[in-house]
Amino acid sequence: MKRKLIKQMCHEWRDNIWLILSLMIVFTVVWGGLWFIYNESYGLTIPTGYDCTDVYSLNVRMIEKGSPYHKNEEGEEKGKNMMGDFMVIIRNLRAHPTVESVMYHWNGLPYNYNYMGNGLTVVDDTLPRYYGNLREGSPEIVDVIRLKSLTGATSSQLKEMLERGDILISDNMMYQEAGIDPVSLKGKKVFFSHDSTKQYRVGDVIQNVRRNDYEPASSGTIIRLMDETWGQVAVRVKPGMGRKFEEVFKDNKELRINGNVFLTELQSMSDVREANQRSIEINLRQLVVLVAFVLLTIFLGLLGTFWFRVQQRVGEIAIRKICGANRMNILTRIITEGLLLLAVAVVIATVILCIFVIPDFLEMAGRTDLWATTMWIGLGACILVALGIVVSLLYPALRAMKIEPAVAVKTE
Amino acid sequence: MIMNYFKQIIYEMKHQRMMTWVAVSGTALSIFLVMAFFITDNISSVDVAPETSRSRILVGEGVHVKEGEYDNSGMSITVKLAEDAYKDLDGIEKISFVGGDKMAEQLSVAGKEPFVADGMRVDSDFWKIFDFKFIDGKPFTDAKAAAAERYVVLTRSSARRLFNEENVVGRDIEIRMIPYHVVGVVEDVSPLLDKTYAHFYVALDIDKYRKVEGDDEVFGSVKVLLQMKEGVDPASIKEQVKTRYGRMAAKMKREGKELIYHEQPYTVEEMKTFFGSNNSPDVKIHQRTQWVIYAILLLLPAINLSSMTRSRLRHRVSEIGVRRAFGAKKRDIISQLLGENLIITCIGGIIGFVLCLLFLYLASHLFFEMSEKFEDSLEVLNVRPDFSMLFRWQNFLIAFVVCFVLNIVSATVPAWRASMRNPAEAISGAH
Repeated sequence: MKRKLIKQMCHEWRDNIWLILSLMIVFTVVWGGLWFIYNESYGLTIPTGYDCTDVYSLNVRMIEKGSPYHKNEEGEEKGKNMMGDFMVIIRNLRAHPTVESVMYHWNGLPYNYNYMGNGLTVVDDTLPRYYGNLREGSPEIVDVIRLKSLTGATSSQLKEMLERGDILISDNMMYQEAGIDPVSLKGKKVFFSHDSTKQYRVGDVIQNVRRNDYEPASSGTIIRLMDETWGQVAVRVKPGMGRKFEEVFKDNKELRINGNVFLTELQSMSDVREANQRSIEINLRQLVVLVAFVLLTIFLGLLGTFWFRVQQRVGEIAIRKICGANRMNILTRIITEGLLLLAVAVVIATVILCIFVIPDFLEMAGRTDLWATTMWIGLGACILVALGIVVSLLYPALRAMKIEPAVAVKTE
Repeated sequence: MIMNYFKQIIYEMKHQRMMTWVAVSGTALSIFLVMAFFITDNISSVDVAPETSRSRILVGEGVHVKEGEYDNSGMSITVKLAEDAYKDLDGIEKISFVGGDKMAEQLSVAGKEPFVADGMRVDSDFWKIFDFKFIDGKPFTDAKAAAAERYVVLTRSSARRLFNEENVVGRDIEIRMIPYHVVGVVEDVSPLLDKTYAHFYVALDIDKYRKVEGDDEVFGSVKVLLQMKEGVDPASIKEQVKTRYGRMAAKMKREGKELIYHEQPYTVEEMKTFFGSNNSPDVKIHQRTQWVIYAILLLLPAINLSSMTRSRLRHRVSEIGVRRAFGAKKRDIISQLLGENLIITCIGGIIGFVLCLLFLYLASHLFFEMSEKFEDSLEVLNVRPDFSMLFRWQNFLIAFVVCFVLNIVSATVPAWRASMRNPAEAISGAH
């Protein structure tokens, strides 16, 4: 039967060449689309190093001269009072029943594309320089964004380390690639490469705090205690208390204003995440739409072509039925024809892509480590297109199955 | 003759219902996607009020300085650097200095709940470059005086939110708890118009900025908007700026610093490709990607439609044979088949285009992004393009051109093959 089928397909070579060409493009686009989707969303499968559920961000502002609300504080006391005013607000927030933890920070929250890249030089050691994104905050940063120790230290222990002036560092891809476990830095003395006068002890090693949910970290994270200085504020509310906190914050001036300092721009981190990851998610969405589109296009193309073929072959199908073919034989024959066309397209496309496209593409994308994954994705693309073919051929095939031999032969 | 095309199509719709339906929906799908990608890609560069001369606008902003192993870059520059690099360039009609960052600030009036809105600091020339429609009042003409007097221009929606009305010139509001005096109210600006989008505009006094920036050479708080004269090539402006930055770079090199200016000022096309302050925009890669997408979106349906057209035409072999026997030329057969197919493509195209516009309007938040996404308040999450940004005659024209191309690509070969049939064989029905 297969030989006859192949003979018949060869007989219709003109139409089939178009279909094979079309399937080659579909397979290539689905393969490429799936590869990009995998590459872009890979970050979602690895730990982020933070948890911003129930976290709110706030900006600190000063009531400047010229405002009717400004309180005159002159001389040396001015700066001191400002910090005092700020810390009163922080204390009020911490004391509020809806609030779990409050930190003031600089670059302490994710979904922020600042990269305060810093190098740490290890004192009296041959270890290479450690590079990381510096995030500064009050010790509560441990609770607010839920830092996770890689050595099993508790959050209270991490906070104690920060309070006594130790720094926390994270796992680091560059270190791992060099075969060095970042945990080996624990307890070591380090200094920031731009300032060798002040040394810090590495208190612990934590999970890397990435910049967002998608972007895998290329270097590490350094957490340092922020002195009581001007910064931004982040609040972790108790689970389920978000809406209540938003209302209370609006109504309760003590939580917002004190002296010449006020907090503004209350933003839930889930909204901040949506705004700052929008560009990545739009790219992903467009890729998904593109892949879905090519599948739908081939669905329509195959549906139309095989519909016509079934109409053309009514007599032939009827004779097959008279000669003993059952409905399943007819269905199998039509679907096998579609899958054989796909097999030819996949083989030709894979050979061309593997020789001319994939090596350069992976080199350009800096992902030569993904050869095997790329092949697996290719297999996935093939299965996806095959499923599309089966679905698109079902309707014409079912129609062919219903052909009554007597009626069809009479029509012929 | 055109009536014959329609009659033929109606006949085919009746007798080859499935094939016609598949052809129309395939075309609709293709036009839908081509136009969706085209409009989303171009919405940030089309001329829409108040940015009615976007193609003539250039932007000069942050630079990048390398010192040893340290990199430093920012999105804004000092007033001095901005003046040295961009003032008095040949071919520039107007220049405007604006604040480097959007300001998300608390707005309030007595007795009302404060809210956070996006603001811009702009000089008086800003109002001359862009076509803002003033509902009430007028723009400030002297930025220095306006900054001292704390003048503010509101948009229609922020005026409504503060006062429940739009004619509010002469009233006072508070921005960051400081009183400001409203001198004008303008029509709302979509967040998709990144050079002009804001809820309020306050005056930027560059002398004050210059004083605050002190001895800082590079990183400051302003950026520059340049409007080129009609017909000026951006390359000529870039060349002049290159020479100026070259002088500054040579000076900084003596201090051990490397100044990288990333071939500014940027055109609107360059601004479309997000590149951050450490990199130069790469328009070529962006355009190449877009062309590949368009090629896929056009080529694939074209191949499928072509295969379906061939199938449809097989039903009409005898008819074509008779027409040829009665003296019809090959050219007539081809033009008739292409004409009929163009009508089917246009029916699909209209359906696809209308669905595309509706989809982009209703699901815009899923597909449009803001270029200033790091600085704005979260108001931008609710962005929706105006109908005027979608319903543009250029978009209709592009949609028709796409239909035409799709028709030519998908139907020429089958029509040509059908016209080449020997009339005798065609009439006898040999396939």
